[in-house]
Amino acid sequence: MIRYILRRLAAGVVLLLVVTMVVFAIFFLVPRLAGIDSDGLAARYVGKSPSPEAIAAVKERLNLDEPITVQYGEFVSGLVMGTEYDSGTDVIHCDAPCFGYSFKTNTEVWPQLVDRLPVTGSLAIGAAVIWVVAGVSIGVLSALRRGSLLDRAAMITALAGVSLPIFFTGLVSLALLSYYWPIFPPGGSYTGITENPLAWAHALVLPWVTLAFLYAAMYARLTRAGMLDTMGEDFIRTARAKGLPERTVVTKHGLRAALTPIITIFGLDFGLMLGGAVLTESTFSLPGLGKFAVDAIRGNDLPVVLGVTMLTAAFVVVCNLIVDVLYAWVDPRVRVGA
Amino acid sequence: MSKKWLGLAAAGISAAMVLTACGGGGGNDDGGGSDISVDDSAISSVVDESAEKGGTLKYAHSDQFDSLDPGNTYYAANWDFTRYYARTLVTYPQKPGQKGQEPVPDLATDLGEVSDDGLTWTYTLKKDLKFQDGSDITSEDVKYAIARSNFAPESLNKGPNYFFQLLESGDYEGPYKDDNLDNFEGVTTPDDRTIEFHLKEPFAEFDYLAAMPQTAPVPADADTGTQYQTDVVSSGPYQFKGEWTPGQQLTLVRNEEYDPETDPLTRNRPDEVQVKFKQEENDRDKRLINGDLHVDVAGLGVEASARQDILRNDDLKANADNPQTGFLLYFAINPNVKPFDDKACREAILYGADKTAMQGAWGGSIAGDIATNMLPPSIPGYKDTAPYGTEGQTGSKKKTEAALEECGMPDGFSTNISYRSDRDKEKKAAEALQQSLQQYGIKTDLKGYPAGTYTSEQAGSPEFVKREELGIIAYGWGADWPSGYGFMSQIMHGDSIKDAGNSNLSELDDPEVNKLLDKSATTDDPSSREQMYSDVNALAMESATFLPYLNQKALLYRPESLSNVYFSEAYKMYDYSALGLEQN
Amino acid sequence: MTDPVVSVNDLRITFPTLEGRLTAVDGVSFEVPAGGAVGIVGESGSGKSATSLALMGLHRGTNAEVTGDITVTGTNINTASDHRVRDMRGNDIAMVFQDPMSSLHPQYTIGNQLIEAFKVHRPGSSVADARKRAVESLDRVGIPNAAQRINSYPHEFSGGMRQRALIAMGLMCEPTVLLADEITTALDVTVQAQILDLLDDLRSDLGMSLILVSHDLAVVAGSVDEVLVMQTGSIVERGDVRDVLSSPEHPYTKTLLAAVPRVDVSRAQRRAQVREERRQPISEEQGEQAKRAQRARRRADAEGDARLGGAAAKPEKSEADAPLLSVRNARMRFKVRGGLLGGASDFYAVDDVSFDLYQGETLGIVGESGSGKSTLSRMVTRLLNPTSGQIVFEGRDITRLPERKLRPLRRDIQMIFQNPYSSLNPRVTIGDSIGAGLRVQGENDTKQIQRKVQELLERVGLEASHYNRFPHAFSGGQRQRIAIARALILRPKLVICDEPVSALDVSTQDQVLRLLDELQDDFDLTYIFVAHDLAVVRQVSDRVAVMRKGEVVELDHSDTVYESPRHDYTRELLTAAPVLDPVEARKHRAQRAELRRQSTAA
Repeated sequence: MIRYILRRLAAGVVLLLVVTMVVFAIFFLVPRLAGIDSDGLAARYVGKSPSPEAIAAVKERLNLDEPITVQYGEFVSGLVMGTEYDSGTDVIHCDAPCFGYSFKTNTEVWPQLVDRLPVTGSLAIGAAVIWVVAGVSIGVLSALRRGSLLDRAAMITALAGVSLPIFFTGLVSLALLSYYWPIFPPGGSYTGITENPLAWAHALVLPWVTLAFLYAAMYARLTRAGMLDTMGEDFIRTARAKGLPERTVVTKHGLRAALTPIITIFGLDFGLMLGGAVLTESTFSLPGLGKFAVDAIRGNDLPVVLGVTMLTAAFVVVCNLIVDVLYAWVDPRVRVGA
Repeated sequence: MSKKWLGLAAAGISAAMVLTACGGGGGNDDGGGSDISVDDSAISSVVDESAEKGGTLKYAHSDQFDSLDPGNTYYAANWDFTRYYARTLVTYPQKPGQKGQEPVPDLATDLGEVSDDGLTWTYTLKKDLKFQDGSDITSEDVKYAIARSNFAPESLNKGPNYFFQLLESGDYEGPYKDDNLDNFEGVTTPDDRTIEFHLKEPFAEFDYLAAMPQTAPVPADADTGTQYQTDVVSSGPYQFKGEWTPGQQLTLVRNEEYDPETDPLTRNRPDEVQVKFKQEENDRDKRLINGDLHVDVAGLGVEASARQDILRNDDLKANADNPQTGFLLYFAINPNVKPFDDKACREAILYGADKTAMQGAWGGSIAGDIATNMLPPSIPGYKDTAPYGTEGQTGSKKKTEAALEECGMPDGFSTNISYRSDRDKEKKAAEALQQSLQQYGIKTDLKGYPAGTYTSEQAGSPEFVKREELGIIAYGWGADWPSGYGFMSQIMHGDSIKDAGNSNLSELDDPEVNKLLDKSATTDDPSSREQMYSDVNALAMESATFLPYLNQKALLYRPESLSNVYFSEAYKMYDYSALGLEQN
Repeated sequence: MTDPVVSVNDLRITFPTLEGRLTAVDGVSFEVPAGGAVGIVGESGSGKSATSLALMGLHRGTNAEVTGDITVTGTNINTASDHRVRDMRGNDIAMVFQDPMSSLHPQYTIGNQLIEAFKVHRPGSSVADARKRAVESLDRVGIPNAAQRINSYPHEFSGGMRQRALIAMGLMCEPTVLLADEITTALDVTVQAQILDLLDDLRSDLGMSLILVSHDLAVVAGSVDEVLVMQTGSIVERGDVRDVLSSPEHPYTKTLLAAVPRVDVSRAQRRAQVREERRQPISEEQGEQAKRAQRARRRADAEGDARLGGAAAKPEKSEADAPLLSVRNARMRFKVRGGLLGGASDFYAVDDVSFDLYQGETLGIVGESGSGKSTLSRMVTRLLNPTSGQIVFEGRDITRLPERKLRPLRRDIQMIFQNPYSSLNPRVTIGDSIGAGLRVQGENDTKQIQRKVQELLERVGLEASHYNRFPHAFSGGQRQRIAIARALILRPKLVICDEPVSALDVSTQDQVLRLLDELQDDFDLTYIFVAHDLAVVRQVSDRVAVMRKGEVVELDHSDTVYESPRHDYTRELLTAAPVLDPVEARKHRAQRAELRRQSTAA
């Protein structure tokens, strides 16, 4: 098992390198293919009316005239060994893992990512708890009472949940529950959990619910379908034939089998979300990774984009690994040949 | 004025780029009819004048500042905002209207004193000025601030570089490469309180430059280059509460070493100032309206949905202002593209244009007032003239047809209109122009280019313009400082025509215009300068190469809880330094 | 006489369908005496499974409507509370299901599932007790090393072991009645025999009553005292198993019995019988299908197609001719992924197999699962490339022929698979499915294709009008006919049938086998017939190869193999094969017990 995990981690590292290469290529090759020279690129990272001197200086500082391989090599070496930056007055050491220095804000990327992680983490974990609990229980109830009023209502709501975009549900919930009836604080009111856990939870209720609504809807549908399949399985009949109470049949035998595939999806969803729930963060003005990434992309801030991308990819890799290990634990059949 | 200076002015005083640059936020397509108006009290007066102090003033930014370093920023909002913690040699007074654009001494005892040859400007610091750590503010600190902000483009390059272009400083390499500040000869400090600026050529409007945040003193030993923005040493009434991380909330607290007695402004009303960044625009507007937030720090106005809310609600209208942003929208008509080599053909465009339709494209009267000449009304020297004006600004059939007749194309002709494809309203304005010209047989093709390369590679390249026959070019312009020179030199001076990055899109090279602009730079008397700007404006209009159509306006909202609110003509947004909170 | 432990009186079960209520069970009554064994026999749709589920009260919560009385150990299942019924399930009456893979929860250990069955009825017992009990139970059903294997997951058990584990689960609470539903259907003959023996032992050891439900008369023959024959929801015949099997009264029982492939009936006998029947005028009983088939055959004869004609006059194969197919020392190696180290070991699925096959002959390949019989058939068709050895077809070595050159050969060698549904594209009409082969071979005239396909459809006992229907509209037997038509459309020389009838009910199976036989005559086909059912293989094969672990242990004329087997394994298979005669079946059981005793003693 440990070998397996190590092998998967190694594959994850390779994947991360590939991801950086792709992002790098997009940011460096695409503008060049579009005919923008290094002066044009440098001009993106200076003020509104740059002097030629400023452009030349930036070009040199960012190595924009170097071939892409050299630039990429420097990025990777910074990642592994750390690197140094000239702030003008001082040389700043950026310890490994150094994701570089934001072109726009002249700040180290890594601490900024770390700063934003708790926000996205709070959002993702809270929402995940809600959506898993709500989605799965609704899905199970729907499946067990298939065709009932509850089932139909739940599935219509779920369809709405899947189809309504977050910025719509988010803004509506803000308008109603924050402005019209000021029950919850408005957007942008994030407080760290360590500062004030109550305020933290209070401010996150709307984002959690909004985000969870979408996923709960998806998971309810998935769970329902899974439960319907599972409850028709022969082993359910066996369980009933044993004389097990229906509750045990549903929870122990039905749910476990139905939930197993959902774990995989959950791992992916959750990993991706740790990399930033872009729409939710934007709608509620939460200073998380997703919003950070979007702003960085808009500002052509390559180091930041690379940082967030790598972090997201790392989360997905790790979550996937956890899920696979978990999967082997949950479903013994997978252990064969692992 | 020598040719050399002119070249410099042309190449360098690229200045004129837009103080209020990001003309975003404003103008949307909902404003409705031309009769819609809001309260506007804060444009002409100070609303809720009050001496009360205290409270926490809350700002929100939909993105983030380019930098909080006063020496490394180019946004009007920042220049307005840095007045909390960065005092400059001179500054703008806290007055509504025209008076608000006339510099007054701040750290300096007086406005700059210019030598007879016009090449040396001298300022003297007031006594007992202190940084937040209690140390004295000296002339050396101001000199250092100029040196780092203009001579170290490898590190600090986001601000303007007027001092770099104007000062006589040889091949000084900046304080980061050259430890010895004495090698910076463009600024000298005979004693702790005296600062002398040595210019290559005379520059009459130097006080405007001295009002830029780049003259705010920076103690050399506290400078951390690009990192200085995280811990700026305050010379003003507020200081950073601990080190700041870009993107995180910024909190300013009172600076105990600040002495209001030395300050011409009252800029210490709230106890604390907070800025939250990356706030979603629509949500920000809602919070602004319900009072949870006090100011949108970018100062560009509310988004479409809040705009509708405000315009439909009289209570909200009573707290809204709709001032001009100093940004002038126009089409340049290029005389090097046929048939515009014939003035009569250009005139046909001017007479044929329906400016109300173009105003409608931007969102009606809330989005801007129809412009009839090439100066924004707030700039001294503006006169309410309307050369080539038509009845109701909707175009004149008679005059257009006459002009077409005269240029020898009575049945009309074909040309192209270029615009920035990612600017939706500019596109709509171009379409409006296309429509109004169509009825006279003037057929136009719309050509969109990305905004990112528009001024450098397409519209800004005379060769490209000629090759692609871009006869009519959509553009917009704002000034770095409120003077005719600041506004017009870059878009009208013949010497500012450049092979790339050109802003004189009309390729106007009128000797008389050039001469007047050159002369204004050396003219000390403000009223003579104003007359010259007025004349340049008239000449430019006379050339029939400019089709101004809109003086852009923003819809600003001031929550009831704010006191001392007024619209600063210098920054084209509320004066943040004056704001206070009503205490109950 | 004591009260019966199970008594069913006028049981009726109906299900709602789109076309109104479907009556699955229609007035069934029977009793099972304490310690007695009753067999319920019927084909799919006879209502036997619905009946057994009703005994467990398992129709509760579904939309089935159950009327009549079911009394199990004194409790009326139909009127008892849910709670009471739950208490009885597994405790008083335990059910063992077919298809042991899907009937065990894949994510819990065998032990967990056994213990659960015990604890639910003995809430006071400790886990240790329950565990001990589970080990005993597994031990009793013959799982070796029960104490360790209890921690295994179902997928770590073979099919036979899983079936045993399910039986062990049923025995956890020592129920009064054990209800076994088709428990041997998916198993190899030897395993099937072991399981049936086990049930028999348990019955005598524990004094349990047994209800054995199966479609296979031969399965119940040796294991029950009384037999009920069900057809479309009703019991058509009942009585002592010996009486029913030896002198059936109801015509359905007779056809059923006739359809059961007999391991003791040789091919020659059967062929003679089939030909005899074909020569006779079509009787009403043989039905429309046979009439159509005969008409089609006559038409084909009339056209004088050389390959179609001469059916009845087909000479017996002569060994002097060159063989149509010759396989020499064929081996097929697979890499088997090892444990965590990822190392691979070699595994020979087919190991050094050689045989010749002559024109018009049928070679039966018989063996249990994993014996390599399917692999071998895929090698012959070059669906798999042999690791070594030689395959010669019509004198050409095709072992290493490149795919391009194989294409013309594909029309000469066709395959028919076990599950015709999964090998038919559900979105393509059967006409197009069958005609596809012609198109591939270059026939472009759509009318011509349609005509040929429709002719063939009639020939295999379907209707020309079925041309535009989709596969789901057909029953299992019809689908197999479609598969046969698809294989024959190109007029192949060699047809490989891989378990073509194992998914079918006995009577359908019989029809399909007859069809194959007739087609062989009419089209002068050569068959390789792969199956695990010894009786089926005997009926269709001229020669039989017995395979075990990739090797052919015996290959000879089928009568020789069946009547005087030389290899031990062949003998083992033959004693395991279920026989219809209850007396004979008991004899076989005694022989098996003897064999087991010897092997344990040894």
